[in-house]
Amino acid sequence: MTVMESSLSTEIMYRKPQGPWQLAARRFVRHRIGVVSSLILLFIVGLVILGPAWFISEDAAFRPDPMRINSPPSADHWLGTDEVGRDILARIIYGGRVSLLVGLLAMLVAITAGVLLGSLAGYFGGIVDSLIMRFTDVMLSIPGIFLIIALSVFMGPSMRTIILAIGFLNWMSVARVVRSLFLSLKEQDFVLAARCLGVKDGRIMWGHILPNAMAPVVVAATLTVGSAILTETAVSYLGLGIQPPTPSWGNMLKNAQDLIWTAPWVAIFPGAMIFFTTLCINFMGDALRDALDPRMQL
Amino acid sequence: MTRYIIKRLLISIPVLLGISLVAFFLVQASGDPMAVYISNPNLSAEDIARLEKAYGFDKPVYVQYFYWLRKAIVGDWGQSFLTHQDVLLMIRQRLGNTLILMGTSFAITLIISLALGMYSATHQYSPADYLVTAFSFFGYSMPSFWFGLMLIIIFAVKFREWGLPYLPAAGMYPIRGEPSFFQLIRHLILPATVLSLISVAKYTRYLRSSMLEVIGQDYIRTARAKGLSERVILWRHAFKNAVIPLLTIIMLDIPQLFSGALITEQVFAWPGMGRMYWEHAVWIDYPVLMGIILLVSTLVVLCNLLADISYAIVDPRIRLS
Repeated sequence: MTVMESSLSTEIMYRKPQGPWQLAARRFVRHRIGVVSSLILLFIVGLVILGPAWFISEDAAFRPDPMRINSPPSADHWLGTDEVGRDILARIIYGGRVSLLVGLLAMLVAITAGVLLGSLAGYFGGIVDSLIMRFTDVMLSIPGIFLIIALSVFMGPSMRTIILAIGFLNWMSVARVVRSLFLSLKEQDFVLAARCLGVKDGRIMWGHILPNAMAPVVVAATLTVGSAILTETAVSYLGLGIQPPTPSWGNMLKNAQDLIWTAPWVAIFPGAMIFFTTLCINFMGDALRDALDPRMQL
Repeated sequence: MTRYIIKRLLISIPVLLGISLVAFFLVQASGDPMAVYISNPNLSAEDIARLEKAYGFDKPVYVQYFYWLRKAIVGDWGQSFLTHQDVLLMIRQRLGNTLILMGTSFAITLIISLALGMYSATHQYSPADYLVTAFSFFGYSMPSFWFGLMLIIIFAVKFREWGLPYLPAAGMYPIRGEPSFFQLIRHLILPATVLSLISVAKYTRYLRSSMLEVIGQDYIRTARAKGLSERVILWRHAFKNAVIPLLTIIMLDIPQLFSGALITEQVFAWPGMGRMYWEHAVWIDYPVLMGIILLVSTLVVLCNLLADISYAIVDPRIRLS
């Protein structure tokens, strides 16, 4: 009994105090699927960035080869070739650069807009809050794909258009979460203390309150990358997103529908990449949520 | 109660106006509505100027908005630039087909997600529960158009090759032969499955977690202590309370359902409103685009209103807050 007690107390005594991020990292590692997904994601990102320098030639991805139109997967072309004889693996790697970049940048646009509007609404309250929240309601009522299609048509389909369009149609949930966090955090003593010291509103909002509201924003940011990739690929599949010859995982499937009778591999592999990438992102987001949720103790 | 309904009604008016503003400025102001005519070689510059004047495009944008709004309120949504048909009439011809698809998929979604969600909540941490959780992650990571293509490859292409009974890959009825109810069902199976997948994944997870939360509460323990049968406890006591937050999620998801329907209609060549939207978007036919966005968003606002009112009837706590 005494032995156990003493070992327990020494353990407590010698345990270093942990910061919140260290605790979060420990919790994250315990989510095994989340860790595996993050590793796979890292591999996909590495492959997409380094692939062209490493084993894929630009020719294979962009130059049509009339001798090998729609050839099935083989030793030369691991994932087969498409309707003009380009290597599908090479196009998946080049297309991945585009799709992942669009996902990341659209997430940045969405998170910036969401954090900005949400913090303004939550911090100032009153008429600012009502106006911003009504605007949020309006944006939540319009089906996103419809507006993205309209914007792509009118502004001309391009990478910039699709990034901005997806970004501006995905900030609403972030804004709501940030607003509700600001509503409760602004009543806390540290905000009062800052105000007594004469700290300006902008600095209180983004220097003092925002760091305390980061955890859900990080989770939302991760999940937004996934949904942004799904949206980009869907719009590109409809022919209104990323324009050929630039490949994206979505526009590679644009012509696939006519080919599924004769060359199903053209349709299978790019979509599988979208699916696995989004799946990994969602598992990672789930692990982050578990890791950053302060209610969960370890 | 009446006061609550009136309050909710009054809130939705500015939201509807806001929707029309956003739609108008995004659709009309970001593009050139005359683009269809300018590309027509038979029209001279004077003709185009005359048309611009006739449509009111020479006026400032906010004046155009009020002109447009005044007409839209009384049901004059303009004519398509492409077919010169009345926009409302065109929408009415296609809306039904979209609602058939959405309604079927909604019914499938409810049945499957209720069954899966209830099962995995009552069998927490069982292998089946893990399987359901995995399935729901798969479901909402799935690009719906690709899922549709895969289903076509398997059930339309491969099944036909293997000599099995196969399903049609496109349309609502066969091109030849009489349209029949049986044919409609056959054509509905694949698109309705695709449209249901994401919602099934989502609602299953929500129902599971909200059931688990309710089951942990005191009044369920009381019901068990009274000796009620497990079935009565689950369905009459727990389910009723667990399903309320789920209803909110379902209502908030209606816009996504319309977005999903657009993509699904495109994959399966389903002659619905989403497909019409896409066809006319390519031609920059903005009266049709405006009309569809406005109609869909208004439906969404109305559904939210109905949902809020019905919760207030079901759950008295909501009215107070």
